[in-house]
Amino acid sequence: MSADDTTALIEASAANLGLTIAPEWKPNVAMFIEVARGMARLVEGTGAAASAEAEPVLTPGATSACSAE
Amino acid sequence: MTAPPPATARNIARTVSRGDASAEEILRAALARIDARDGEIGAFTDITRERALSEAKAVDGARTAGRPLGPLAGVPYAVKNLYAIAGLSTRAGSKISAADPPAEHDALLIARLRAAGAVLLGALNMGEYAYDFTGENAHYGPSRNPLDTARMTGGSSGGSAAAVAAGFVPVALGSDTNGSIRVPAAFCGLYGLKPTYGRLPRTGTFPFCDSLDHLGPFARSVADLALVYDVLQGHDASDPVCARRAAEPIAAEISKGSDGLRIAVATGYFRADAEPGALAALDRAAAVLGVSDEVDIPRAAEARAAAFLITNAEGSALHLERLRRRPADFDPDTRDRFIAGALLPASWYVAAQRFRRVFEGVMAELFQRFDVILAPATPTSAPLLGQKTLSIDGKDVPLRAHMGIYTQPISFVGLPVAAVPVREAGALPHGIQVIAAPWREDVCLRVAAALEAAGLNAIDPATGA
Repeated sequence: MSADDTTALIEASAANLGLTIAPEWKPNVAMFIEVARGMARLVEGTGAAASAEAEPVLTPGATSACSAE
Repeated sequence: MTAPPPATARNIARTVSRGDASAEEILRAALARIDARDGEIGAFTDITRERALSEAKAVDGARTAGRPLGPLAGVPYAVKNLYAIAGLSTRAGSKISAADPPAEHDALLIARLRAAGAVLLGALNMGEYAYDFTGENAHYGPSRNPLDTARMTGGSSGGSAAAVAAGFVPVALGSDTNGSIRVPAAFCGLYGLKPTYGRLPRTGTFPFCDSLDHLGPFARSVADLALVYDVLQGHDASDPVCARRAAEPIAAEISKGSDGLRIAVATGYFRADAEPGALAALDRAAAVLGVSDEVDIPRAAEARAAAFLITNAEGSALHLERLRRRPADFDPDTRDRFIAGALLPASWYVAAQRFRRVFEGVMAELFQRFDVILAPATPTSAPLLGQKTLSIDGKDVPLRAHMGIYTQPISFVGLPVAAVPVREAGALPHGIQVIAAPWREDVCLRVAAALEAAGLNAIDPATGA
C-alpha cells in the first residue's frame, strides 16, 4: 500500500467514524497505521485467522499444548 | 519517635500491631517524606491526607480497643490514578476524565487493602489512559525516576514505581496491559507482580484494553509483594473475566527457594534488540540460579504484534467518543496512536485474537517442559526524559514502541510474571521477568525471592537506600 493509499484510508475512515483529524496530526497517524500494517502482516502470516478460534475473553490454562509448527 | 520508621510493609504492620509505633506516626512520617520530595519526583496527582488520617486513627483505635488488626495494619500505600477513589475524579492520566464526577466508591482492591488495615495516601501519576511505557504525561508532567531524576520511571504505572522507589510508601498498586508494571519496576529497581490474567478483579478501575488489562502491586521486597498480593486475591463477579478461583495465599511459599524447579532462559527473540547490560543482568540471574537450559519461544514476534493490534484497536474503540469530541485535549503522544487505532481494519483485530489461542498453546507446550522461563523485562535501563529513540546495535529505533518488546508477548496470553531488579552498586538497574504457567504466581515469587536472597539487587529493602 502506498503513502497515497494510507492517506486515502485516513480520510475515508475518519469521515466514516466522525473523527476530525487536524492536518498537523496526520503524518503521525499515518506512521502509526504503517506500524500497525507491519504488525498485521506478521499476524496474518501465521495463518491463525483462517484456522483458529478467537479468544476475546481469555481463560488462562484452558487451552491445551500445541506445537508452534 | 526517634528511630526512623520501618521501611517495609511487613515491618510496619508488625510495629503497629505491637504498639511500638502508631499508624498515625507511620502516616505522618510518610507524608513528611512526600512533602519534602514529591515536588521533584512527581509521583502523586492527589494526596488524600484527611482520609489517610482517618484510616490511620481507625487502625490505632482498633489496637487500643484490643480488636484484631489486619495483615497490613498501618501500612501506607497509594494507587495509580486509574483506580477509583471515593470522592475523587478518576483521572486515568488524562485531562478529559479529570473533569468527570468524583467516584462514589473505591475500587475493589482499595476496599480489600483498607479492610486489611492499609492506609491510602493518594492517587499516582501515570501515562495518559495507560497507553505509555515512559511515565511521561503532557498534562501533569512526568514522574521522575528517584534513582536519577533526569531519567524516566517507565510507564504507564510511572507514579506507582516512583512512589515506592522514592520511599514515600512501601507498596503501591498499578496496572499492566502490555508491561506497565514490569517496565517501571525494571527502570526503578523494584519488584512487581503481574498476576495471571483474571486473577485479580479489575472492579472500579478505568479500563484500557479489556482483553489484556491486569492489576498488580509494586514493592521493594518480595515478602511485601506477597503480603499485599495475598490480600488482593479473591473472585468478584463484577469483573467478567475474573476467574472463579478461591484465593491461593503464597506469602508462606516464597521461602521455598528454586530447588527442584525446571528453569530456562529465553533466547532468540528475547536476546535480540537489547543493550548488553540488559542481557548481562539476565545472565547474572541465570548464573545465580544455576540455570543452563535455554528455550527459544516460537512466534514471540507475532505475539507481540498481535498484542499491539488488540491494544490499539480496543483502546481506540474505548476512547472513540472522546476522540470525536475533544481530540485536542489528549496528550499528543497518545492521541495520534488512538486515532490510528480507530481506523484499523477489523480483520487485523480478529486475526490477532485468533492468534492468541494459538500462542497460548505454544506457551502451554513449553510449560510442560519448564516451570519457569527467565527473560529480560526491557531492552535498556531507564532512558533520559524526553528521549525519543534508542540506539540498539548501531541503529535507532522508536523508544516508546521498543520498551515493551519483551513484556508484550507474555501478557498477551496472561501468564503470571514477577519483575525482579538486577542492579550493580552505583549503576542503573535492569529488570528481568520470571514467567510461570497460568495461576503459578507462587513459583514466580519463589524464584524472585531466591534472586533477592542472592543479592542481585544492590539495595537494602530495610532502608530503601
